[in-house]
Amino acid sequence: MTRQSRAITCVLLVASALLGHATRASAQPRPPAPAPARKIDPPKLVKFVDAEFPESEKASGKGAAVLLQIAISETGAVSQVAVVQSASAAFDAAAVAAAKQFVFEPARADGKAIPVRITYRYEFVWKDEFVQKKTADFEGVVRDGATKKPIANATIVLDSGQTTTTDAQGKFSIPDVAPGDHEVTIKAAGFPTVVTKELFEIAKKLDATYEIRPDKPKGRAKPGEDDEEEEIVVTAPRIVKQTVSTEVKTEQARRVPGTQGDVLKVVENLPGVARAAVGSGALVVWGASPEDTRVYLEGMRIPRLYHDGGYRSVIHSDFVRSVELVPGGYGAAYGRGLGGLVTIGLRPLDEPGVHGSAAVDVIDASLSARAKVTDRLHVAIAGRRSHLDSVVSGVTSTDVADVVPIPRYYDGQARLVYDLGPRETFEVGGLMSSDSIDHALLSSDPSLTKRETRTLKFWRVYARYENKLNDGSVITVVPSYGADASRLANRFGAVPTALDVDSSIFGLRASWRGQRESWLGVSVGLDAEMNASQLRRAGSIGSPPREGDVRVFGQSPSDQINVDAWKTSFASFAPFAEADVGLLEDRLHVIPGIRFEPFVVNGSRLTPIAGETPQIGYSHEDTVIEPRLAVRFAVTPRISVKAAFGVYHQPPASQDLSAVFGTPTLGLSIAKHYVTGGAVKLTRTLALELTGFLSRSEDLVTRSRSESPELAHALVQDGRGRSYGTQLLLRQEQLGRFFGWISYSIMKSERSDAPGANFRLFDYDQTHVLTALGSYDLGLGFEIGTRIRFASGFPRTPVTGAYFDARTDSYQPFFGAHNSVRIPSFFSIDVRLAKRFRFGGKVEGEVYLDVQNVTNHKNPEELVYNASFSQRDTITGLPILPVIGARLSW
Amino acid sequence: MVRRACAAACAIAIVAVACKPTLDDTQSIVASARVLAVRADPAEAPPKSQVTYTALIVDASGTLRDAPLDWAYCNQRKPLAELGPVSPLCMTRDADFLAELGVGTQVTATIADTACREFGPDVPEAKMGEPAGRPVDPDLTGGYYQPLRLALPGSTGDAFTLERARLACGIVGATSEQLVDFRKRYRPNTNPAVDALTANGARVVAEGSGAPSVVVAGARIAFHATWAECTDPAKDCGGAEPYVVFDLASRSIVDSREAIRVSWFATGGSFDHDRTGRDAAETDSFSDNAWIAPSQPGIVHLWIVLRDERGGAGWQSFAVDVR
Repeated sequence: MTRQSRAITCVLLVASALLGHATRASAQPRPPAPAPARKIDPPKLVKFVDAEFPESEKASGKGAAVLLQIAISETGAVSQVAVVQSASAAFDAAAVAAAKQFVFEPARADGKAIPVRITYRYEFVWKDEFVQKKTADFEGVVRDGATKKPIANATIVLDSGQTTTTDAQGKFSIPDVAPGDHEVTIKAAGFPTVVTKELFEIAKKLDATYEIRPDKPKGRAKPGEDDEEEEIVVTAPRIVKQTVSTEVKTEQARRVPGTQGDVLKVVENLPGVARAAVGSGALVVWGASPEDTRVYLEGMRIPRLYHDGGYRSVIHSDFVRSVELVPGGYGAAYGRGLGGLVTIGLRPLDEPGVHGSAAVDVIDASLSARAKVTDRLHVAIAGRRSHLDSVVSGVTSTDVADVVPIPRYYDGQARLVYDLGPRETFEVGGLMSSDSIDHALLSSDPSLTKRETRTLKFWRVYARYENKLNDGSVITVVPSYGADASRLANRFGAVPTALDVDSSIFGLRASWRGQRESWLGVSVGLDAEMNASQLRRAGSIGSPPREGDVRVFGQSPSDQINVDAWKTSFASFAPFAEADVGLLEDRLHVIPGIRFEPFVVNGSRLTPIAGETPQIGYSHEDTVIEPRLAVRFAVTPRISVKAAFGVYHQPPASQDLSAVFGTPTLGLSIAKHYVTGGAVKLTRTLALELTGFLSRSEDLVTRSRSESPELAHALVQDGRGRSYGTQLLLRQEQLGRFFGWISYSIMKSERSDAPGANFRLFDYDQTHVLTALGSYDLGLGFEIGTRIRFASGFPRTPVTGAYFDARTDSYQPFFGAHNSVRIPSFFSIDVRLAKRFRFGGKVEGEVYLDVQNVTNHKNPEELVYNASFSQRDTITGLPILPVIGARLSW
Repeated sequence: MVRRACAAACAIAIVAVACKPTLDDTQSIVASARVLAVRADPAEAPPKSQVTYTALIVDASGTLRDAPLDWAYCNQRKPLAELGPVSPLCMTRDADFLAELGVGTQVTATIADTACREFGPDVPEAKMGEPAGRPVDPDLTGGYYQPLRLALPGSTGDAFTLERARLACGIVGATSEQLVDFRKRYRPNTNPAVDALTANGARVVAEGSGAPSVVVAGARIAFHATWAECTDPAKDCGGAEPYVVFDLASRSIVDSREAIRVSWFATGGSFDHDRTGRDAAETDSFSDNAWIAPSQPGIVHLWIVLRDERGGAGWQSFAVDVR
């Protein structure tokens, strides 16, 4: 529980009940007795007992005062306590309980101890620490699994060293548990020792019920019965953790410098994630293409994590419970992507009352609210809209907005959660997001005028049913439906580039997770997705560019153009199963998984439109079996090692299935992930994790290298990829006032574009990525944080010369070796200073100053050349960037 | 403009963009020998036609009447993965796929019979054991082009120039009715020509047509270049011609009009803009630019090159006497 730090102002109002009136009850001060005057010495408090601030009153955020009448015997002991003026039942009870333990030096009349009654005003003072609790509480009960009777004197031991024993009712309580995963060991005479793992969240109480079946007397067991008799049932099944994952809780993520309070932006700071080019918002994980990394919100796939420019995520932070990044080697529940995985967990809606927040900074403004409507029904809603474009146009009359892409975006989310029972919930919700960018670079030469319009809108509606059954297993079903609409319309001179994609997406994720045996956790489910797209593309075959294209920044597209309009549909129904086998007293976990996935792809056009030639559609099917395996071994309670392997397939993007610009018959691409590593818990809150990885991919889609490719075969699956490297994470969980981490990745990612071709550096390869960050609570509501980032530059293909194109009056580059030079490295120090305020009991305010690149380091972001390619320089990124923001929550 | 915008962006420090460096992008000042333009006569021709190619080669002394410019047809198709206009392999001296045409500022050559297969809408010949390949995509005007490689020897090696001769190959993907309609209405391209150039309202004398016009050293001169107005689609015209094109999006024959680009060159001084022009929607047949004469007296050579959207080119040379 919280530390006994509250200051209780104890005010002795009047000593009363003098001269034989000790038993007279009165709540009022008493006048001194008439003459003959006696020397009266009032009682003196010699032992004060701090009252618990009632748990039920913390939500109110208010203090209170209880007026008590305390009867003090001639020995100084408290003989009776009565409430004269109530604050609330909980406050009253806490005050009475504390006052009963007071000890006084008795009152005296002419030197003789006498009984008296006094009136106390017991004040409960609200302190911020109550809501800023940095630890979790652990309570629960241990029962006999066979008889359901409580087990007394069972010992509960946490790997942090904290321990307790159960009382006669089998109940136990361990306060102030450091957040994070902890191993829990339960020992009781006559029962097998149980070891399990629990997740503790900041400022939350974990209630657990452990049911343990007694040891079977030796010799009595029949064959095949032993395991069953020793079954251990816990309230929640063992959580199947990904082998390599980094999860950050919202409260920490919000305080990371450079994120401007956006919880999901913390992903950029995790190991294995390349630093995205400024303004791109791309997520490059372990050397995979951004489009190969999947983002799931409570099991529902969404097309992007960040709005354009990477300023903000598409989900309001108040909706987010946690964000987890799995760069590779993930389990069988997920697939269809060759790269990493980002999963976002939604915040449970279980608070009483109405809560919300309002935030604004120079980039955007947001509002969220959540409320308990009835005992069973909770609602939440949030929205955000950018105003950066207005700010820019308001502070400058120049044509900045025309020259540079300033994104405009908005998003919204809504949830309605209904508790069908104590462990059964039904939720419906929806989210939407819209991004658009318009900019133009005008020129006196019409052929050099550039215009760009880009939009991406998506929405989803979903239902979520969750039932935690009595045997501890959990059933989850999440059907979802939505649409994505993206528009790209560029014009370089008169040369257009247009790509419109409208997709309807249906998803279904259903799973059952349970602990079948003490040593066996099982998860089975179905992951289905159907996607129907309608596409239109116009322009050069080389625009928009693909990874691996040899080009320079700003290069005009070829003026050879074409047009295509086509439809595709894709369906996949993937049953999956995963087991978590605990061996060697649960020190060794072997987690095999398998995913069976048939892919069906249909298209409207196998060949380009030509005259009166009829349209020929197509359909093809691929079925794959994807084995996954993860192994974790606890060498000691502090040291663990791990390894994982997985096979992953990814269907072709619908825009690659054009008969004109792509190849309708493209099949699946495949990747194999190999992961190994270890973790050392250096202290209770400090952990070091080291991971090595290798990812090999084949059948990647690349442009045809042929001078005369077959009709409708502009893309081929000749690409191969390999990424390998090591990542390190040294993470200090909240320790006193500080938390932080250092993440470092060294990796190499390469591609080969044709059979027999040498490997070249991947366009998004970054050899070194270092992030060190920390946040320190200065007290009085002040907090300071800093982030230091260093990253290698992306590879680029150098220009070695140029020739003059007389028809377009422009120069065209000669290129050197593919991706053989790099953009210079990136370095930035960011600082965040925040101050929290409390208004009244319930409203908390925060203002922050988030300064990026405080040293104003000139960071090259891209290589650029002059018109004749005779000079090269770099575009530099953001200068010092102070972002001031404010947030009000209640 | 970019620098100004960048300064504003940096000043407000909230825009996720970057600041562009200042690079020397000036292309209008001629300091050494270079090819400014290439013209094909006729401007559009079918395979087996004879075409005369003329290069405008200049240096600081003016137009070069003679230069060791090496010409060749490049018969190498561009790989689909190549984002440039032609295969970069074309830019070499000797290769099997280069058909030498001669040396000089002007050559005459015949377009190969297979040009529309190699660089046009006709299906290319299948190679042994392989299916027939993909035809070349047309440009915005429905055009297909035979690449030419020009090599000008220099002190640091050859300076290569690419010319693309417009081929009259017809259209692809149209119905037979559309093909007939297209053949009936399409008029091959004609090279544009500079009608006149005025400086602050006074006509500038073309080089070789009289004494150079006189300008004051350091003066700002308002140039006004004109070309022919093309109003009758049935007649050849040296301006922005109307033409028909098979629109791939609507799968129909649509009317269009050429855009005109104007490239300004001089051996001294500085132009406000290196390039000006009119896009297809602008019907004006002139373009303005300003030039600040050099502060040193002397003869300055000026060239104005017109390019139409269908690959045609024409130019005029001028000399001014800066005093």
